[in-house]
Amino acid sequence: MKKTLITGLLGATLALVAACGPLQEGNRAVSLLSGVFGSLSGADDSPSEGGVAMTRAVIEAQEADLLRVSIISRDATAILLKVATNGSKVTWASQDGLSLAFDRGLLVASRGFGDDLMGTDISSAVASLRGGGNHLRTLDFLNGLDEIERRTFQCSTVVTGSESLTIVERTYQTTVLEETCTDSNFGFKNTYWRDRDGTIWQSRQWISVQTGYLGYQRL
Amino acid sequence: MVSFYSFIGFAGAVAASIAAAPVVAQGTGEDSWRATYTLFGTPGIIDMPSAVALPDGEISANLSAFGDTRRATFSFQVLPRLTANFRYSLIDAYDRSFDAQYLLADEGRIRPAVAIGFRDFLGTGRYSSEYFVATKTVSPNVRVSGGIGWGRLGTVNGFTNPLGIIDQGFETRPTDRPGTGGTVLAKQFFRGDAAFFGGVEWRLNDEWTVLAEYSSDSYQRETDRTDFVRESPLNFGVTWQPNESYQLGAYYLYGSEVGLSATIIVDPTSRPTVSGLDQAPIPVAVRSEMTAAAASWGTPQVQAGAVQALGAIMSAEGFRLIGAEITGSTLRVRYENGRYRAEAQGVGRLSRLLTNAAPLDIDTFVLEPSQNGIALSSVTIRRGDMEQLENAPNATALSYDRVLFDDASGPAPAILYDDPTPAFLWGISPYLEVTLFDGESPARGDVGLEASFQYELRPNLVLAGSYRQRLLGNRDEVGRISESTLPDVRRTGLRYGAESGGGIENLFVSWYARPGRDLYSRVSAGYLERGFAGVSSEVLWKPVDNQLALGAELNYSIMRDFDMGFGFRPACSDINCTDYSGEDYDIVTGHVSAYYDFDNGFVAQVDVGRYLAGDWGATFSLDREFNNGWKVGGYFTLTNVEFEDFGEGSFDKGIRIEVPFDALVGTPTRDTAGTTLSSLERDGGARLRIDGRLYDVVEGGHQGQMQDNWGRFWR
Repeated sequence: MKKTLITGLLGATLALVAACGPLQEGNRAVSLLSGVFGSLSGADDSPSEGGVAMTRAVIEAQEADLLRVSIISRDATAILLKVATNGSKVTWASQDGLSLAFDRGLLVASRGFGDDLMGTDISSAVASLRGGGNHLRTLDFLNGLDEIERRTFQCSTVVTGSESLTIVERTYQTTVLEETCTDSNFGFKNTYWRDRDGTIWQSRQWISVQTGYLGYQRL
Repeated sequence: MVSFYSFIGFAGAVAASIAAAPVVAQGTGEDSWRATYTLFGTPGIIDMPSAVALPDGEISANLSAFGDTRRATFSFQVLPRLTANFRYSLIDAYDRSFDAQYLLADEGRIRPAVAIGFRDFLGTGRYSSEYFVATKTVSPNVRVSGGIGWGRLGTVNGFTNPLGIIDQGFETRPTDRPGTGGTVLAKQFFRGDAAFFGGVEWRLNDEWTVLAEYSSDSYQRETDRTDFVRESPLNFGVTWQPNESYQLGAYYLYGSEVGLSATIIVDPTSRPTVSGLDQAPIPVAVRSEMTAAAASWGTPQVQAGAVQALGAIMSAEGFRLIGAEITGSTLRVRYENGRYRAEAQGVGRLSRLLTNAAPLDIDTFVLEPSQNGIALSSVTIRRGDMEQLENAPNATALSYDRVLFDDASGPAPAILYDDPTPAFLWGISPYLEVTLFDGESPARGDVGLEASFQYELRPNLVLAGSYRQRLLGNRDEVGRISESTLPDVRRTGLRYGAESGGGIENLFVSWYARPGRDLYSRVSAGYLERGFAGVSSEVLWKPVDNQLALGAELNYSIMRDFDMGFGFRPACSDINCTDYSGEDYDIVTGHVSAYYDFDNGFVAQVDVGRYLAGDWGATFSLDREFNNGWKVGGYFTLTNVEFEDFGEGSFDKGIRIEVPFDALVGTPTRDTAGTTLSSLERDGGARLRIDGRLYDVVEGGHQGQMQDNWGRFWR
């Protein structure tokens, strides 16, 4: 469906006469404007927790595993459900169309956040969590030109302490590790709260330049 | 004057809407000093050029005003070194002009950047000038430019052309030019007196730049014909560029005038939502982890039920299932992607969906994306590759390498989907129609209602139509019809619906088919467009992995009456089109076409054949297609119509731009907005306007464009 730019945009502003009929259901001109305003306000993709108070009983009652996630730069929080497992990778999704995939607790992909992480090799990063070390990490991003941009970071992981971590009525003894990564013009720092079995119960990890950091807790 | 301000306002609205998208800073991190936009909308200082190229692909719209002069300029950085501009200006009368500048050498440690430029090389020549300019960044925040100009840029302190050493002919600039403009003014290039110009840009900080220049343009025409008074060759200005999306400028010009300019800048290579706000895809289901395995499609009843179920799931994901079948361990699915601009994204999403829906014994998916009811290609994907590569590093490149592309001209899958969507769809929507640059008034507009319907007899056989009714507007005030001896196939186009206030826009049936391997066909019959009814037929040869495509089109059409009813009309019998008598005008037209998709994103097209006025000739088009869907291009048509007979512009030419809506909205859609600048409605080189020509339908489903878009496969 091709329209002239003018017809499309100004047609949408004609609030006097509304578009109707099944052929007009996907009238992009209307959603174009709402989309522009929506994305400016950031309201489009703010996950919400739904207002239910989180208790251990509520968590136990769920069939699927839960992950509490926040996007720190957007000041937004959501509960994600475990929706798929592929080898060591687990995909968690929200009802409003966001998903995150983790491999042994490390973020490998995001979808629906705008600036998304398309994939990454985390095997050496996982190894470094057993007490620290240096490693390389390559992250794949999808840019505005629909091309994959591969960025390689030089990283080092150090143990910064141990912490007794409480998540919804349960307490875990964790080691806190920090992974610091830099490339020629950018750097980020991930933090992991890891128990003795290797489970990461809480973490703060970088997604991408525009989306910023992710925080999560296993529930 | 009032009308010009409405034009400025309108152009501003266009520019603002184009710019609505990429306003978010891209932050490349490089400390490159961006070009300053001049009062001509070109890179330079104030009125004088500089040897600075814009970022590759950048599009800008510039408005400027001083004295009685108004300019609106559209610019595009065609190639990293080539800048092109189209301008609509008011000097003493409305005028349009084309500029081009080529960066010959980048700035070195000692050597300055050098560029060659042509101003108004294709118009009536009122701004006609050529120049060489050199630019050097002498300190981190000071950039100095100097050059030598001919034509208007050689009119202050001019000296005898140094090129006269080569040939004395260079010393005089011929003044004869076609009265209709529009031809390349090559006979004037670098002729006549030459003069030096120069200037300096001083960057105060990231946002503010102070400018001063010595102009070698005497503004003779403005002084002679308007109130313009030129008292000095010196110009001063300041620009403010708070971000990468716009630049504002204020100037003190020629010792007498105050000027203003505003530039809106769009970078089509970036998107505010980066990868887009598309919902997360359904994750891959791995066979070894599947607890509720899909039953195998053993019996015909189970197969029919499974295809119905698959179709329902697919429709929730924006796909329309046409049919599916299982052969051995292969599941073949033919479908139409109605949601995603990139077919590659459709292929990726549907493959993931199929890992959830296909029986466990299926190890290969054959996807056949279709549009307009015909299959465009066949993409073979191994289920194991989907399982292995999901969220893996470098998954995009690896999955592309493991996919096979082939032709899909074979029969539809054995089990057809019984689509519950009604075959008859209708809609009513508001429309706004704007006519630009009709010679008297820069813009006219109508607002009204459009009713449309489509009736799908089969996916590839559709009857569709639309009817418009004007509610308010001024398109009924038809201005002067330009004089011509050609049949009025386009120049009286403004009269359509002018008195009746609307009518049948179109009402025709179209039939698409695959007559053979690599072959596509289309037949459209009925009221094809405002001006013509008839039959249009087309075939296209385009192998799925080929950069070259060939096509042929043959049409018979009759000219429609101005009231946009069912009737027809003759061509006018006098040059001013006041008298209509004689037989209805009908014509056989047709073209053979060649298309070539270059590796660097450019697509070239040549059409040779007969046009609506009975003239014979060829159309040459070149478009730059960005992987994210933006397209910017230009075309021109030369036929056996003499330039004097053609009228203003001498021959048909234009610039076109297509904006993908998903880049603006962030959410997936296949809709685009397109607009063409500068095409004057004249009778020479005119073609039937038909939506859904084959190349546009087929291109997106072929390997070239899928490869360009493969980044979206896992999105």
